Amino acid sequence: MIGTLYQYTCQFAQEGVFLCYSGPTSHEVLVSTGNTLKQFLDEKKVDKKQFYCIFSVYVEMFENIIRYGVDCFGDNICLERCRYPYGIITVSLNNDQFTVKCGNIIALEQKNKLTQYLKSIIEMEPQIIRDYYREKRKQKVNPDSKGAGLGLIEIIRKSSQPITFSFDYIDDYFLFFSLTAVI
Amino acid sequence: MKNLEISKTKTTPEILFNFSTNELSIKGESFPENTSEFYAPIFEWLEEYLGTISDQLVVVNIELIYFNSSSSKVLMDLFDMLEDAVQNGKDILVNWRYDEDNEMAAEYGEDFMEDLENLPFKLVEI
Repeated sequence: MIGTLYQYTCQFAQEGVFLCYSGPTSHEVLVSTGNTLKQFLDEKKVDKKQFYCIFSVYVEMFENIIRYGVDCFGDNICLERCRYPYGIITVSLNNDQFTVKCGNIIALEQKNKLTQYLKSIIEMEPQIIRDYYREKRKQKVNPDSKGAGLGLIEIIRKSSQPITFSFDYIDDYFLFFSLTAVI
Repeated sequence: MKNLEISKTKTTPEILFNFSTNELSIKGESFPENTSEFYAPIFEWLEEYLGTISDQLVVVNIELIYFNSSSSKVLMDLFDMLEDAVQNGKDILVNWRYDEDNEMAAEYGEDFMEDLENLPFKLVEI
């Protein structure tokens, strides 16, 4: 087991990962790991704009896991009212460029809707996505959405490159969803 | 009517709404665990307050270093409420205060400003 953790650590080091959280997520974990991230960025003297873009992407990704992730630590994967949805999030630094990645488990039937939505917003030009964000912000909150429905748009607006996403097969019911943003 | 005073925490801003000076201030960072729960008493207070004032000038100072997307939605709702009050004859000025090296906060202030038609909204570099 110790050997395995050493392997993870080496792999993270090679990829420039300086922060990783994997496990049950909660607002408390977001706040404490988010503070550590801020301290690290402060020490690296990252300029204010990049600082808040990185922090913002981190918060939105983490909140998405808390809101939409599923719990896989019990006997059964629970879909509704998960107390501590499982998620993994990493932040890495390579040549002044920061990468935030997050992953969580989703139900298979969410794949098509999520793919469609992500594709549609990823291809928007900066001005179009800015207008779309403002338009959505003016609307009443969708009852299906657990947040304001602006998180993914916010992540795109704060990223310096198009975000990427993928799905990995778990079983006939669940997929592992990953999202990568570069700032 | 009582003043509304809420101390800041790591994830919620300081709220100082002063009934007698007509100065309302929101300052800090905003990414609460439950956004609508945190802002509910603020909306309640404002609604009551807007019902009591006549034509005195109300100054709303907002200085948010960081806010998440759910807070952004709530801020929009708050500005909509103030905009309605202006249309009903109230005199309200919003000062969107931002640090000169926090480009993000300035940009987000511009976004709000463009979405408001009647509410006087000033970007103030500090």
